[in-house]
This record gives sequence, C-alpha cells and structure tokens, in this order.
Amino acid sequence: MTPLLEVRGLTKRFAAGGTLARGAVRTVVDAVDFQVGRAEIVALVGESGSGKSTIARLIARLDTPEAGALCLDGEDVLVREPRGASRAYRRRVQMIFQDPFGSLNPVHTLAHHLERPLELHGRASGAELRPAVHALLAQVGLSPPEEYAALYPHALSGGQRQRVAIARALAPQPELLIADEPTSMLDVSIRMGVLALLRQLRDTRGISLLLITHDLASARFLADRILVLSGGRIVEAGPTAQIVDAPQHPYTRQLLAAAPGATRTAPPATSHGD
Amino acid sequence: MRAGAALVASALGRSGPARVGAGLLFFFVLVALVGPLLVADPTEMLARPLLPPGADHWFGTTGQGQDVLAQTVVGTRMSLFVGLATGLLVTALGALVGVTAGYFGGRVDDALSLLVNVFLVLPGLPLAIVLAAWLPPGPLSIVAVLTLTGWAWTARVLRAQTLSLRHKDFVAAAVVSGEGHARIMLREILPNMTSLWVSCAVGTATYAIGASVGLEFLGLGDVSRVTWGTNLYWATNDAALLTGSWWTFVPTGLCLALVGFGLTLLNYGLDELTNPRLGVDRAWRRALKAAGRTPGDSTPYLPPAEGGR
Repeated sequence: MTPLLEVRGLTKRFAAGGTLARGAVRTVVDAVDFQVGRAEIVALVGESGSGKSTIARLIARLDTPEAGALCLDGEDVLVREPRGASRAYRRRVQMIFQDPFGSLNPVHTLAHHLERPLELHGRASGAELRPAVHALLAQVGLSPPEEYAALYPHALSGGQRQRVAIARALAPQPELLIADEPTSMLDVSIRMGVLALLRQLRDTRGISLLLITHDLASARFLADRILVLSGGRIVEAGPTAQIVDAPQHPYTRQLLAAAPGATRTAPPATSHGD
Repeated sequence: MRAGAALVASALGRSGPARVGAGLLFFFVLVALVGPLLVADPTEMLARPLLPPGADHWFGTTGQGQDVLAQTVVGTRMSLFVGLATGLLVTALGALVGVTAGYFGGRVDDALSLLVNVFLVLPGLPLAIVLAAWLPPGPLSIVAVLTLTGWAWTARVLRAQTLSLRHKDFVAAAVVSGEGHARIMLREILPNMTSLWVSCAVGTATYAIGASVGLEFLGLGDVSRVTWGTNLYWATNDAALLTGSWWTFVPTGLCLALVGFGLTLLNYGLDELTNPRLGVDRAWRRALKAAGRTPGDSTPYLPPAEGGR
C-alpha cells in the first residue's frame, strides 16, 4: 500500500552571503527521504537550524524545493502542480504553526478564522457555518463554543490560541497535519494538553501527523516513528522506542543527553489545564 | 472601510483634539450640504461692489457686487468634495500599488517600485500646474491632477508596512487555508494597517484641499465655478489688497485654515490612538505637575494614589 506522504530527495537551497559572496548557496535541506503512513505520527527531531521547519514549509507548499519529489498517495504533486499548490492539495494537507501569537490575525474573530477554510473547501456554507464553527471549537476543547466564536485572538491564552490554530487546520478535514513545533511557544503546564489533543485526533479521525520538534520528550510521547535531522540530512530513523532506548548515531545520543526527561520510562508529567 | 470607521470612532472617544477636529469638519460638511440652500446666489450682482461687512451683507460684497458670505458657503461644497475625493482616490490607488508590490515581492515589486519612484521624483507642484493647464478646467480635472501627483507617497508607505506583514504567520496560515492572493491582501493584510491608510487618507485630504485652492488661485481651475480657490482668484483679480477690501479673501482663507486645522487635529488623535506612548507621555506629565514636580527632575517618584491601585 502506498504511504500517504512520501518525500524523495527533497532539497532546498537558500542564497547565502551578502554582496561579496554573491552566488553562494547554503543547502538547508539535503536530499531528504521519508514517508508518513496513514494514521501514523512521525516526529522530525533536530536542533535549531537543522532544516526541520523548512521541511514543514516545503510540504505545506509555502516554499518550493530545488529538487526532489513530494508524493501524496504516490503521485508527485510537484510535477502535477508546479506553479503552486491546488486547493485540493490544501484540503488534504494542513499545517499548524509554531507561534500561536503570530498565526492568528489580530483583527478577526475566531469565527472568521474557522469560517474561511470551511467555506473555501466546501465543508459548510450559509446557515451551516455557525454550527460547523461551534463543532470545531468544541472538538479542540474550547467550550462554550458560542462564546469563544465571537472573541478576538488577544482575549485568549497561548494554549487556547494554539487550539484555535488546530481547529483551523482541521476545518478542511485534512488527511495529513504538519505541526511545526506546536508546543514550543507554550507554557510547560499546557503542552501536554495540546499534545494529547493531537494524539486524540489521530486515534479518533485517523489523521496522519508530521510533528516537527526539537523536544525529544514530546516526540517520545506522541510519535510512532522518529526521524533525527542534522544539518539538513536525516541521520537516524526508526521506531520511537528504538531511537530513545538504543540510539545509534552520535548526534542522536547528544540530543538525548541534552533533553531532560526524554529517556525516562514513565511518560512526562501530565497536566491538561490551559 | 468598516475598520477605518471604527478606528476614527475610537479616536473620537479618547482624544480631545480629535473631537475638536471632528467637530470642525462636521460643521463644514454641514455648511457644504445645506449652506447653499440658505444663502443668496453667489454669482449674481446683488449690491454695490466692495461694500464692507454690514447688516445686509454680513461678509460684505466682492468687486463684482456679489455676496461674500454666499460665495464662501457655496465654495465650501466643491473644495471639500475635491479634498475628500482626492483623499479616497489616492489611498485606493496607493493601497492597490503599494500592497501588491509588498505582497508579491520579487519582480512585481521591482516593477511597481520603479513606477512609484518615478512618480516620487517628478516635481509634484510644477507637474500639477502643467497638467491642470492642459486638462479641461473643472473640479474633476483638479482631482485627477492631484491624485496623479500624490499617490506615490501613500504607495511607498503602505508597501513598507506590507513588507513587514507578509512574513507573519497569519498570512502563511491563510495561504495554507487555500485563500486567494487578492483576498489575503484585502482581508488579512489591509485591516492590519488601518491606522496607516486612514491617516494617509486624512493627510492627503488636507493636502488636496490646500493644493486645489492653490491651483484655482493661479487660475487653473474653472473660474466660472464658485470654490474657495476661485474666490481667492477673483479677490486678487479685483485687486483686493490694493483697494484694502480684506473681507473678500479673509473669510475664505479662514475657512480653509479651519478645515486644515480640523483634519490635522483628527490625524493627531489617530496618531495618539495607534501610538499609545504619546498619550502615556501626556498623562505622565500631568501626574508630575499634580505632584508639584517638573519633568526632567531626577528619578521622579509619585506617592501612591489614595486607596492604592
């Protein structure tokens, strides 16, 4: 069976240097291969600058790679839609951004944030919009939804905002969710709530999740498989238990040593409060 | 537009100067709308020329024996119309070019920025004079001339702000949602710089009223119409200074100054609203004064207010 998402030889270069070094390029993502299966949670782990957020943007089609194939259901979308993602692709692949304070537009209500994707992807229109918005808010644990729908983002905490961002990503009913460091900007006390919500989405709706993180503890809590990224290359990949308990690559060992709590056998302390 | 109206309303609620400015503007808009129905025909010869202000003709008469009050009131309509229409057109054109350039970046930005820069280096007033002389005289020509020579600054300012907004995550999130470019610019980016384009519109209107009066004063408008500019044109033509008939130009000049004053006060109010530091500064100075301190003393300490906060 073909995997939902398959990435082959994905390469992204950026121009580097100023006027003196014109023409110099830096390869940020270097021939990366991986797959994400249906209803699978794959964590992409690496330090700052390892290229993990660039990979997220490439798969979300916010940037275009220099080389490689990006296959959804076995079909290379970069060949089929070279000039930018189609709406059909957007419907199937959605993204949650790192900074919930930046990813919601301060001038619009929460209802607006959710109505637009519902309308754009034909999930609801007209009189169905309100109940659909309320259902989404309730699904991410923001209740009573009628009250939240009328609020502006500034009235919410970071954790609540991230829940709205997740609801927005869910609105088109995607098959793959890219979560770019979804908890790194949140207080430690509310991270678990957001992570548990993501896992619940996989368990109840069969959504695949590509989790981008520098935090091995959350990768370990959530992921079925872990890919370790360093300098734009995948240096180690395998099931979560294997990576955490028997790391092979020295870089992985360094990451593990640097992460408090990542190697403990018990799951990290949980707190569901926002 | 809705966001702009909300911003203006909010500025009025908080800022005293803005309320004064809005009051002045409201008065002149009222004069422009209903005034012409209440006064005599401004083009007819009603009395002896150059009568000083008196009971029959409150503001006196012109060199042609026309009523100055009537001329001032009727002139308000066209001058305000030119100012507001130019403000709106310049803002619309500037937003279209500036936001498009900033949003798309790359070659689109290069091409549009080149266009903006060309219009910025063209000397505005001489070009306006040449164009106004060449186009058929009339208020619409004046609006066209002032829009053409004035839109580039607005475009430049809005482009700069768009450049900083387009890399925000909420824009990327809208792209991922499948939102189209036009809608992202109009609904996601523009409402985030409402204060900027509203103050551009108000500033441009101020400039346009002054510049239209200037062009008409030079005789580049339609001199058969009654506007503030043509009032001044005829006053000079009739040698107002030579004959000492100050009443033929002072009312119009005063109205012009008051409208400009009102628009500027409104802009200050908007500025204070979007830059709260200005308001904080003033409140701090007031608090210092109440405590008998002068600003600039070292380490001002104010005792806590009664009951504590």
